[in-house]
Amino acid sequence: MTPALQTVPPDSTPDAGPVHRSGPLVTLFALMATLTALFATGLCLQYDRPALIAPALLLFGLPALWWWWCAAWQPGRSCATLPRSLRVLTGALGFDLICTCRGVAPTIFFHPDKATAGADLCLLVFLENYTSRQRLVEVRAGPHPGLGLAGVQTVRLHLAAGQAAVYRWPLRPLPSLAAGSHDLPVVLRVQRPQGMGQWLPGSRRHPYNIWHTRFAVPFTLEASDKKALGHPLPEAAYLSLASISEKEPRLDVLARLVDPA
Amino acid sequence: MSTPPTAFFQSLRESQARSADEQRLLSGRDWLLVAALVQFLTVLYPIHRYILSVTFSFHTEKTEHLPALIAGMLALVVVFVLLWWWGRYAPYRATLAALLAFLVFHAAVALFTPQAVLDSIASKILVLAGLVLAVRTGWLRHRPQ
Repeated sequence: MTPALQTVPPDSTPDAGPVHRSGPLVTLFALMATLTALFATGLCLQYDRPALIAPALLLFGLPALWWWWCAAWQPGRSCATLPRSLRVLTGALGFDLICTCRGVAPTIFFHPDKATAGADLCLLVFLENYTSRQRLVEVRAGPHPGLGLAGVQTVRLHLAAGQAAVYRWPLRPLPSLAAGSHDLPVVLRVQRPQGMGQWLPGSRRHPYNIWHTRFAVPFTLEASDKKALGHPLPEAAYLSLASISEKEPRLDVLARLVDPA
Repeated sequence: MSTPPTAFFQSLRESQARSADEQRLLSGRDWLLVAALVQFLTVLYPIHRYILSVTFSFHTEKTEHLPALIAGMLALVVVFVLLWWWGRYAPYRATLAALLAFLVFHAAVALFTPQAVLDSIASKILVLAGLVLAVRTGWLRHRPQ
């Protein structure tokens, strides 16, 4: 497995908060499992099946104990005051997010999203970690032969707690790609190498919080008589936009990222 | 800190909004998976009733129809998952096929086991609503621009 890319400059914000999942949903699971264990035990006693009591308690009682521990004990121990999320993507940048993936807000698009054959396109992957523990984001783009992606290409990106970052992925449409609207399939998966963490104060909790999400990133290729450019593609770059260890986001890097010249 | 000009942010937002709109259309396929999940949760109650009737010999209600009903509901879950997979290639046809499969199945239930028609009516409405949303988003993607 390829190592995860670190942002430039690196963010050394330490992890904080609970390792396992907690919150109202886990409390509900714990309550349901407890009631089910009691119900199953009562049913076995009523119908004189004592041999089934132990399996029923193992099946429902153990998960209930585990969920009670996660829901009640963990958050009580991690009472450290967490810094507020800077909310760069929805705040300063004003992006329209449709989901979060394991506490990471993603959005992927081409900028500019119109180009002629042979001209460079710039795929931008904006990410913001809304939680108090680091995340690893796997971005799988392709296949799209018209953009030179014969197979799926994967990039793994590291996000520190509360960090916002952008990955620039330069792509060049081949001259053989027909003019018109196209989509680049991108799958984004998020891993939690150091556990769950908790949502930072001020972060935007989206109701659609999933493990992985798919994007069909649109771009338009305009007809042109120009031949393909000969210069090499610019290097990919992964830049930090904001860190919760700092007071303000660094939005000035954005202009350089999109237009390096 | 030198901030990029407002026009730059505006153009960035326009590109992002176009991508977000495309993603919303793509999510029509996800409604199929949600419908499959709700359908699976719906079948748990008949399974629970059947296990109780077999394990504890409950005779207070008729359960002869339950094995066929459970098999049919599980088959519907499998159909939804297969159509969800096919929806990568043809989202509109896949979602429409799922809606038709759901309606045909419940027409058959109404015909052969009328006593089970109103069972789990709330989750049936949820599945139906999910499938209608899936067809709607599939159609938005399918229709000529």
